[in-house]
Amino acid sequence: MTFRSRLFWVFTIALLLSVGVIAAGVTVVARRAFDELNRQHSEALVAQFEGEFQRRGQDVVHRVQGIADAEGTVRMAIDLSRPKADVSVYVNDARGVSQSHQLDFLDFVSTDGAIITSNEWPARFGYKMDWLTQPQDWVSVGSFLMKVDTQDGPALGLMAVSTVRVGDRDLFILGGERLGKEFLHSLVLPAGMRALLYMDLDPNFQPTNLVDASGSVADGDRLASFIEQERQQPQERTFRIAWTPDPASAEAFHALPLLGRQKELLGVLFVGSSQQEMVKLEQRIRDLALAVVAMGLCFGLLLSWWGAARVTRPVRELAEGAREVSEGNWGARVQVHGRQEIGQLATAFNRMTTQLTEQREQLVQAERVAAWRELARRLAHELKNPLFPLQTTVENLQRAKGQSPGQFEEVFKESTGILLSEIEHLKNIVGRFSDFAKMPQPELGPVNVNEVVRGVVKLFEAQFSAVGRPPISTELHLAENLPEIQADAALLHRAIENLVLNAMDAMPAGGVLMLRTTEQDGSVDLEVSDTGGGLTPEECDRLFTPYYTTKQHGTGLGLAIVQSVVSDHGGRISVESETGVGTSFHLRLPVKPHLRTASSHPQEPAAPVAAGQPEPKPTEPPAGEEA
Amino acid sequence: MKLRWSLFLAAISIAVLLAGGARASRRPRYGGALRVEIGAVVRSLDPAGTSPDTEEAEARSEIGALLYDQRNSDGTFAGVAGSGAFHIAAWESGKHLTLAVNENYHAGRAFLDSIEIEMGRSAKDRLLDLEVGKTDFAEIPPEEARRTSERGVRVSTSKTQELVALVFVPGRPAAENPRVREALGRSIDRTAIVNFILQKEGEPAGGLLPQWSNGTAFLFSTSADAGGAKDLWSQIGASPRIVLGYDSGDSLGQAIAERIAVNARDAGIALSVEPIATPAPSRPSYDARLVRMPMTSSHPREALASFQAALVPLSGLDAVPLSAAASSEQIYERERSIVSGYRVVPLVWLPRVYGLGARVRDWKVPAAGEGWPFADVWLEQESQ
Amino acid sequence: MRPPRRILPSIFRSIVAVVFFALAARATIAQTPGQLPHAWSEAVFTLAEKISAALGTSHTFALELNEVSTVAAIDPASIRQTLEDDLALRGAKPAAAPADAQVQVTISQNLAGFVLVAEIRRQDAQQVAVVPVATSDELPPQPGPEPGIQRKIVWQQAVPILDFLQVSADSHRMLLYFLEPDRLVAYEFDDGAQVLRDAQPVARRYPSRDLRGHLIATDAMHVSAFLAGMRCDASWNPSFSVECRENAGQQWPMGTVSWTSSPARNYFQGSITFSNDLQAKFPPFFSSASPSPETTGLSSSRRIVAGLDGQAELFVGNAEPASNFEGWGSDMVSIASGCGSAWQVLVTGSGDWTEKDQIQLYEIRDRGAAAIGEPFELTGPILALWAGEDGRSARVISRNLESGMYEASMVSVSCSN
Repeated sequence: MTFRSRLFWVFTIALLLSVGVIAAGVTVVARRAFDELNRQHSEALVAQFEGEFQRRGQDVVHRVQGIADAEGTVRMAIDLSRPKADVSVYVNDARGVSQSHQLDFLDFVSTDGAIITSNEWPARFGYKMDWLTQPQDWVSVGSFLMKVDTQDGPALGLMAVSTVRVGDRDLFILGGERLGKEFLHSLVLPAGMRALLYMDLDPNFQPTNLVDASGSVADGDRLASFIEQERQQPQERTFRIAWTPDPASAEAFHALPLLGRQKELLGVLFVGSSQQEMVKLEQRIRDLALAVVAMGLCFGLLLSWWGAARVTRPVRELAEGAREVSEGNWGARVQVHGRQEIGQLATAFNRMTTQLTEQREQLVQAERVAAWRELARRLAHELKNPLFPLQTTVENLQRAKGQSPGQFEEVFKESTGILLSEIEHLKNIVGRFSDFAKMPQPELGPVNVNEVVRGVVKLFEAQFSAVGRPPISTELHLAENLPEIQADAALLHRAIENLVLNAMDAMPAGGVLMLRTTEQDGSVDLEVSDTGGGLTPEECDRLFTPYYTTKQHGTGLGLAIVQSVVSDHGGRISVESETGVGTSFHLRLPVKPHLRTASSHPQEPAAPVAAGQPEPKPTEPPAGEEA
Repeated sequence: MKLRWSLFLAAISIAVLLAGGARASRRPRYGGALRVEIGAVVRSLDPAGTSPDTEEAEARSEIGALLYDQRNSDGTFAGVAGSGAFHIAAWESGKHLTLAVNENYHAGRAFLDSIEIEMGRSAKDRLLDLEVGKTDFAEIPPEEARRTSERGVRVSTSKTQELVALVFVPGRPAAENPRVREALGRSIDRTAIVNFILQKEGEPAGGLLPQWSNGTAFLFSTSADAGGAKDLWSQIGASPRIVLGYDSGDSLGQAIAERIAVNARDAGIALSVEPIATPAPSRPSYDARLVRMPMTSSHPREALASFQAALVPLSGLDAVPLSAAASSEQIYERERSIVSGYRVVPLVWLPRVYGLGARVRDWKVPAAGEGWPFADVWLEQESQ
Repeated sequence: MRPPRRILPSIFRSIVAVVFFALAARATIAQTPGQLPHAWSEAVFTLAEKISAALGTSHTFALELNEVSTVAAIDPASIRQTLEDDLALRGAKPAAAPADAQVQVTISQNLAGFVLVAEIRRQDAQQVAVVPVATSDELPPQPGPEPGIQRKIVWQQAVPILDFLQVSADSHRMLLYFLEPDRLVAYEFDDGAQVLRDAQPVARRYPSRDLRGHLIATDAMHVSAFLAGMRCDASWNPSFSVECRENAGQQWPMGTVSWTSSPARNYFQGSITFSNDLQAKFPPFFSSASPSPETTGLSSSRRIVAGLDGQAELFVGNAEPASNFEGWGSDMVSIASGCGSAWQVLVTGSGDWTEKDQIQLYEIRDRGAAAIGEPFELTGPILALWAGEDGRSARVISRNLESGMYEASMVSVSCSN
């Protein structure tokens, strides 16, 4: 993830979090404010309901008392106080009296609790209302809620009882008003609020018993569970209902249980407050937050772009410079922007590449000097060996001049022969150096590595078992169906030949030479192992350095040539060696090499790797090439 | 030795003569038009015509008794219209009928000159008109008799001669369960219906015939047994809901049906009431219905036969013919067999109640099956 | 004071006529208890046959006799006795419960006449037998001609009168006794001439603002006065003398019913024993009336009492009132008017003593009372109403609100046609 992206996301998340927290906070505060407002409204409505309830109750009490005080009622009471009074004459009286006093419910009940006449259920005469005959101060009771049995089923009534006493006999007048939608209609409700009344008249929840001021309530069964709670434990409750998936349909309710004389639940008043305004406010807050976030995102995008321009571009330039350095361009430089951390970093980078270049030049110079010294030492060593016989021979000739001509002739003849031989030797030495200097560019063609290996082994078969030399056995592990690679067969033969020679030189006491070919990921691997004395790690490090040799008579060019061939084929060479066990060379040759020309990659060497080292260590350029 | 009225009358005459100052008897006065109001709307005076409206059929029968001289045993009339004490003077179908006296009626001219019959007058209007003297004669609902009398209207009440019964509709699931029928039948408090709804104008009915008819009505229990009904109802597995129908427009039937619903509810029986439209639907939605059956004869056998004939199609009872010489015992047994299955549950017997104007004299309550005896009625001359 | 000279001869004539009528009627319908008319005997015999058949092998039965007919002119006890005798002849014996069978016989009535209905319950079986009483040769009870009430004032005076009595000493002389609150007065009418014979004080033990008193004549020379807590016997031996003593037990001789006065009050208490040996104790009452078996054929176990609450209650054979009548006054008396055979009762109005009173004749049928004819208006309140000696008239003490005089009068009922 780029710094820009990271910066963008960090900024965005920070913005989201801050805006979210603010929006949530505002929402919570707003909701609390609304809830408080709703609570106040609900309490006001409940208080209004209770006030209206009491007012209606007082009205009912007055009207029932008015009936009790009426002359007709007193006359009835006097008549009924007589023994064996005929109550049947009054069986239809309740209807007219209730109409004149505008009461929905009216019952005249005799002193034994039997209904004399009933307005709400005329056919119920004669049935007992024993609860009325219980000793009770009905004046102090006032009005009360009651489940009233009517002809059309139970109803909820706001009732009052009055008595007319004649002698020791009472005439009870039970009257009241129906509590229903008409009652709710009389309540003055603030906007967004409504009152629902559930009349608990049936054992189970009945949606038809739930009414509002206009009649039945749609989806009233959603309140069933709350009504059940009130049934279980009557108390004031608040809750919220979302009528539809739209949050604006939510409604907060305040439930007020309505109890009868025996504290039994007879109804529940629900004061509902629409949450639409609050949801709208929340919506506005959310929209505002989203707008802020969107603006923040845009701002973040611009900021991240600007930040990238200010922060990531120097870093990217640094990364580019580092990459160039890693590719060998040690002279890479980055532009320094400002004096802050990035600027200081760029300055340090430039200082580092400058120092690296200087150090590399010093190192190259040192190595070049060392190479030249080595070369000089080798040349001196190589040349000193033939020079000493030349010098001796010439000295012999000088001394033979004084001898007899025959002797002189003999000496002369012997000495010229030696001189020629040594001069030839010198020519060979010069020729080998010349050959290394003139390594040809490979001419690629399909080459079967196994065939090349077999050719090399066949070339040296005689030497492996030469007389007077400890035998060397060979083991070939050549992979079947090895793909042909694009290579120069002669150079490859020469490289393998050098490796075999190197192995033979490493096994003066004989041993096992093992050659193995395998296919690996579009490349052909070749392993050449011996069971010689092995190399030290230091030797391994310098093994491919030209003119470096561990042998008494080596030129130090064999493995350098191998490395050069492998490199020219786009391959890699590495070495594993353990002292006393042997040495293995691993060549990896691509099937289709992407050759680097000297012009295009003049300094790209092959990458010999010494086993046991953490990273492949690039070999230094051959001194000869440098030279 | 027999008590002879002649001896009584002679003795009384002597006593009156001896005592002196006896008030002279009032002899009938000829003349006047009797104003009659009825609730029915009579659209046809054809004696053979049929009407689904029971009230119209009864009114037509009453009018027929004034128009025709002879009556057949089945209640229809013989002869020609106008052969009776009165003939039709003016006829406005469904509204008004004027009957004029037959001057040469063979049984003697009626005292009235004419009878004016106003139709379609509601019970409330009839009562009001009686009270203010706007009419001389109107039949009034039995339950209004006491109140009407208390308002100063002369009231004449017959013997109980109309049966109100609950009849289960055959084929309905609830009606085919004997326990359902018995439970409902036993739950009904007939005495309360008589005392309160009928204002004591009537009698609880356990059998089909009133006590005065066969003398055995007391053998049928009329008491309510809510406990027994409750036990019976609890034995019914899937308790059905009973729908009790009553004729629409029959306020008394409605009041009785609603009281039955209260009684049933007290016994735990689920019962609802509903009015039955006229004419009754071919596929009733009710399990039982209230029927009002006027007695067509005072004779117990004939009355029972007519009840049975009316009940057979309604209740699915077997039509068992009743011998013309059936004894009181046999009549009782037949009654018992009809009501024992609770397919027919007699409720109350009703009297016929008539409101009379102050000037009406010599009004005699007609017996069951008899028409209004307007031929014997006379009107007292109103003071100038 | 209006002299009664012109009034008494007409009263005398009417009394003679009524006595004649009463004797004639009694001769025609009187029955000896235990003997049933032939038609009833036949019906009971047939009923016994049916009951016996229904009883089968049951040898004992418990018989219960009820009466739902209101005008049966037969004593139920006679029917019971006859039925038990007939059943005994068939091998069934009456027994108290538990018996082999329960037989409930009801005297009922239908359109054709009386019927005897027997319900025989044996174990779980029930059988009903209905036997009509063939009464085709007897007239069914028919409403008589509309009667009228007549009143003849016998005496007027300023002193209150509790009761009065007129008896014939011989063919020319008639004695008239007046019971006043403090004395018993005797007048003699000799061929229309009024003579005050004597007046003797009577002891009054209990003061009352509504004092009640009643005179009973053993014969023309012997009269007993019943007052609150006292009984005074008057006799001419040879002079008019009155001997008063405390009425132990407060018994007032009134018909077949044992009355007990409440001397400190103005009402009575009493009890009646019905034919089924059931004794009913009445609540306190002002007056009572029962039908005359001779004139109505009804059992004397029927009785109407005028209660203190303004309601009159009818008892028919048991202790529970069969019905009650409203709007009746506090005094009533049975009267045999001769207008029909039904039980007729004269009843005072329901007003108080500041109002004019009235007398209404009622006919008791089917446990209901039907007012017969128009009520008879008086000039003031009725203070006492007692049955006449002949059963066909009534003695009325009233006070004329216009003159303030107390009036003693005879009231009778005559048939209008």
